[in-house]
Amino acid sequence: MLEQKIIIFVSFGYMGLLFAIAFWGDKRAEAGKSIISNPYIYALSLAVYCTAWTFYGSVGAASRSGATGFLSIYLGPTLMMILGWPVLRKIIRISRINRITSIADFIASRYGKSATIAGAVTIIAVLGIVPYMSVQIKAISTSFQLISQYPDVYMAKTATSLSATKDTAFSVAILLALFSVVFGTRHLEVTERHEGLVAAIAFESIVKLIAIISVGLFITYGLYSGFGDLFTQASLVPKIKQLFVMEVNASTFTGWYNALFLAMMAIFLLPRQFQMIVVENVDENHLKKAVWLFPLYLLAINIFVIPIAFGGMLHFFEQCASDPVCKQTLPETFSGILKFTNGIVDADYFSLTLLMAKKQQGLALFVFIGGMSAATGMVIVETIALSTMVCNDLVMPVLLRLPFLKLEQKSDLSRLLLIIRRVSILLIILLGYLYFHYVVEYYSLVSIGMISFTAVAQFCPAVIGGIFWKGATRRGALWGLLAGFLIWLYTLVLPSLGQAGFLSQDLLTNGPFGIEFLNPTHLFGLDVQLLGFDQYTHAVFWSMFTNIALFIGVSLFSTQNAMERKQAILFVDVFKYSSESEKSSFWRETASVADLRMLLERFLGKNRTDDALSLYARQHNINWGKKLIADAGLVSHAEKLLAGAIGSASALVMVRSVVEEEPLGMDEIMHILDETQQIIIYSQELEKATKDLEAANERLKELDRLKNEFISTVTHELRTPLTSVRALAEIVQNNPDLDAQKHHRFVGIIIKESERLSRLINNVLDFQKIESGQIQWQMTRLDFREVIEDSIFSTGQLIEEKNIDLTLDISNQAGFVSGDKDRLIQVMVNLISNAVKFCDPEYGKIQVGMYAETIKTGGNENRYLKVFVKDNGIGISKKDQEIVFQKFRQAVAGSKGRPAGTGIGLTITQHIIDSHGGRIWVDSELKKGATFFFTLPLLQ
Amino acid sequence: MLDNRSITGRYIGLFLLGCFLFCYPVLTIFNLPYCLLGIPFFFFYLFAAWSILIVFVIFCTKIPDTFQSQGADTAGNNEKQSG
Amino acid sequence: MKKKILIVDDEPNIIVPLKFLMKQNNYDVQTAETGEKALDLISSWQPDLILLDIMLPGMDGYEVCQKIRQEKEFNQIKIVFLSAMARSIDIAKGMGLAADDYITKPFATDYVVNKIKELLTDT
Repeated sequence: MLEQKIIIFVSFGYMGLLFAIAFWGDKRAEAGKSIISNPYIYALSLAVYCTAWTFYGSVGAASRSGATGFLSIYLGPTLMMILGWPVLRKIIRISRINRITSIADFIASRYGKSATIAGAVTIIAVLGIVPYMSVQIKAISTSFQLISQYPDVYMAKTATSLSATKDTAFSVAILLALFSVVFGTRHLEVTERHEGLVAAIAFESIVKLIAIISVGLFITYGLYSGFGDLFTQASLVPKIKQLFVMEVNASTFTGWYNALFLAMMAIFLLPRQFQMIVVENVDENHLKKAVWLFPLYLLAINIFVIPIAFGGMLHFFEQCASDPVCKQTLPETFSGILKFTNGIVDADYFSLTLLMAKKQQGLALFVFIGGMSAATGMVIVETIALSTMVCNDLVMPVLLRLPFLKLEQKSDLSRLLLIIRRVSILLIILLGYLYFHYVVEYYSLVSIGMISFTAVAQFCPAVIGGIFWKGATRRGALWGLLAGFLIWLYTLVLPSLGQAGFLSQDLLTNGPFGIEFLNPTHLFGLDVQLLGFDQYTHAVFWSMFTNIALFIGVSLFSTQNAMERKQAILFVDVFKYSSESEKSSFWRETASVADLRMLLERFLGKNRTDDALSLYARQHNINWGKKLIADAGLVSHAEKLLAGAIGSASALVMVRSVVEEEPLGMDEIMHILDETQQIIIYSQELEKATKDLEAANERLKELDRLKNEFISTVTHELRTPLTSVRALAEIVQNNPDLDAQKHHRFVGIIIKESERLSRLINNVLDFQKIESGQIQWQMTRLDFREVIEDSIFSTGQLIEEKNIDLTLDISNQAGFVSGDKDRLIQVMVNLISNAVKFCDPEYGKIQVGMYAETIKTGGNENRYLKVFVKDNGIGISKKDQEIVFQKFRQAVAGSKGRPAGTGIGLTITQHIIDSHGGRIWVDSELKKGATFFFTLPLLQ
Repeated sequence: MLDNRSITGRYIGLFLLGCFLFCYPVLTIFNLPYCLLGIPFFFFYLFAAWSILIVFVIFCTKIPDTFQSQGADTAGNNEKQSG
Repeated sequence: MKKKILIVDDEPNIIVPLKFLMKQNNYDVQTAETGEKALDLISSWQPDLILLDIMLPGMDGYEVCQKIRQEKEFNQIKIVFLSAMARSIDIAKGMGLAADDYITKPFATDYVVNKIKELLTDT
């Protein structure tokens, strides 16, 4: 006899342990040392999929219909996990970016943050999950009753025992509810992940796996000597042997695919699975390991299902043969229930009853704990997920829209949110209990579970279509969801209620009002017998057909609003936008920072608001003291923070109340951006082109001006000597009696001016050559002293005439350079004649010199020859010094200092020096003379 | 991008393999009344196929990135040659 | 009494023939190479006519003309620009400064002499 006290004590002890783990996990998370941030914990947490259905129900299913009866429920998730990378990763990414908190939030967010969709999804999820919840309640209370009557394995089928089961179930439901409340809503922590919860669920997953494997090992190797022995024994019993192969008929075929499909969908569409896979995901990359770890877990937990089932069957069939009642009632095909004289034995609980029958007290208790663990894990996570949905997507949107509640003015709503959540947890579990109370006893665990799976499968078109098809509209999703849901209600829930006696059986046999066409068991006259459809396949077929048809059909014939378009693009192209999504702003207008802060504080509390905003400030270098107006980016950020607490639909409403501006659609923004971008690019190009043109025009104008200036300068230059020549020639001609001295002098001037003319003409020609790059340089090694001497010789007469004092400052050392001698002489002549021209007219002084100089540039030492020509003339203004070498620029007319008309000589000079690798510049002050310097590289 | 796509392609390929292994007609092939290593053949097939599928997925995730990108490159080359 | 003519030019080889021509026609001649010197001479010597080059070192011919015209006592002085700058804009600018004539270089000696005679006999 196992005392009830001990069972209760152990159960509570185990719950306490889970709680401790959760507490520890939360503490670690707060300290920043997350224990769940690894793929193993993540994969284990996904195993919340394995509930009492798996733990007990699979065995029952296996004993009824062999491998095909239960394996598809685990092969479906295996296949879906393989698609984890392309599908689940996308959902995870979308959810992280949009701060999605639940499946309802996800679907609503995709369809323009529609509150209607959110509400619809929530209602479907809650009603759909109720049967599933009742399965857990049934499993816990039944297993509790079984183990309480240890070692008696027979469940009495009397009125008293039934009501006792129901009482137990009620207590179990209440305890589960309390536990869930404590577990899930200790504090309002909705945007953040429930780290402690995940840790506890991972632990729970380990416990149930070990429990089921322990039973399996005990049966396979304790009761029998391995798999071979077990199967050999089993093959001796025809009822078991027929399960070795599957029955090849339409029913198995459709049932197999149906379960495979439903399980594939359930693995991520069940609210608790969505919670674990998506919301609690810490790192997308954990998925990489989970895609094989989780299927591996499923494989492990299923390995011993068949041995347990066969072991149970072997034992209890043997018992049956010796029981008079059982012997008579045992049907040809095993239905899962054995009716003994003392009560019944349900194949669902073989793992427990077989151990009890074999007097394995400790192991039986462990199995009970494992089953309870599986059930409570599901209930806790499911209710947390559902209560979040009910609160965010059902209750809050309604409350926020009720003007008399004046919720907008309440300063702290986080308490209210918490209360709503707690109440919804209680209500959901209570609904589960009621369903159990009135309906469930007529069904096996697996078949009730299938009702729930069919309900959540209705989300499939909206979710999968939503993340891969931009054209899916809110209307399409809503119509599809509602139609699928109604068909589910009509074809699955209604018959189950009919079975329970709530409705007349007439409805199920003849259809409503005798209309056979609308019969919920074979809707629209579908020949279920011929197709091999059971009621689940039938329901799935019609609900999915109408759902998908309406989803696609209505989507094609309806249009999206701006918000829908924006969300559609954000969802479908999530990988394209995910990096910059935070930055892209969808709000036209701005809000005051104070308003936003107040709004956040109301839903998140002061501390979390402060934390969140200071984090944002750090990331964006914002000083809250200075920033009074929240820009679009901050508004978006606030909306996302709020979305975490109250769901995206409600968050949108709240932020709108502060911003009071309709958000812009992404498409519109992109369109605007696109257009603006185009215009900007176009106008930039235009501007650039105009600028180029203007610049070209300016250059042309400048060139034109310079050309005119050049011509006028050159003509001026030519006119001056020509004037002398002509005037003097006329004088000589008109005055034949001119005295010899004057005659000689005048003719001399004529000759000199003629020479000047030819020099000028040569200069112009040289200049032209330089411009067109036609100069042929005759480079030789030469001593620059010779160049200076030669040039002084050729300008000697000029210097003498002007009575100029020329001093030479040439060192004794030769300065060898490589150069074109004639051209270098030209340079010197140009500079000297310039100096002659501009030096003081009365006391002209010119100094010519050269010396070697070392110039350090970087690490190199370069030796240069520096040559200078200095005069004591009027000098050149600083402004003119810069332009004196420029072509055509012969100092601007009207400027102070040297007059215009210095010729193009300096331009030519500069070019020659440049071509010799030297540099020329002038150093001058007005009225203090000018010194022209140039350098040439010295030869070693 | 190419890498991502090739990884996605691998998973989709494995998914299709899984669908094939567990599709009804294929199941009937292995639906034999014999035992293999003392285990009914049908059960053996189901669990073996499942295990193999998981092993393939493990391989798929364990293949080093360099090999993956090389694989993607050769695939691209082949495409070019054939096209 | 001989009329006094001031030649302002920085080109010695242009001064030479001008000086010769003026002397030949019985004028009193002084020369200046810069505008500043010219203004000094105008004050001290008070010429009747000035032959004024424009491209001068320092102060240019236009400026010299302007300065002369600003003084009432020099109102009677005839100013003839004698410049190598032959563009109409240069001539217009010169005439705009109330010069009496503008002769472009190179010039015909007869023309210059006749022009001067004309201007000086007017008074």
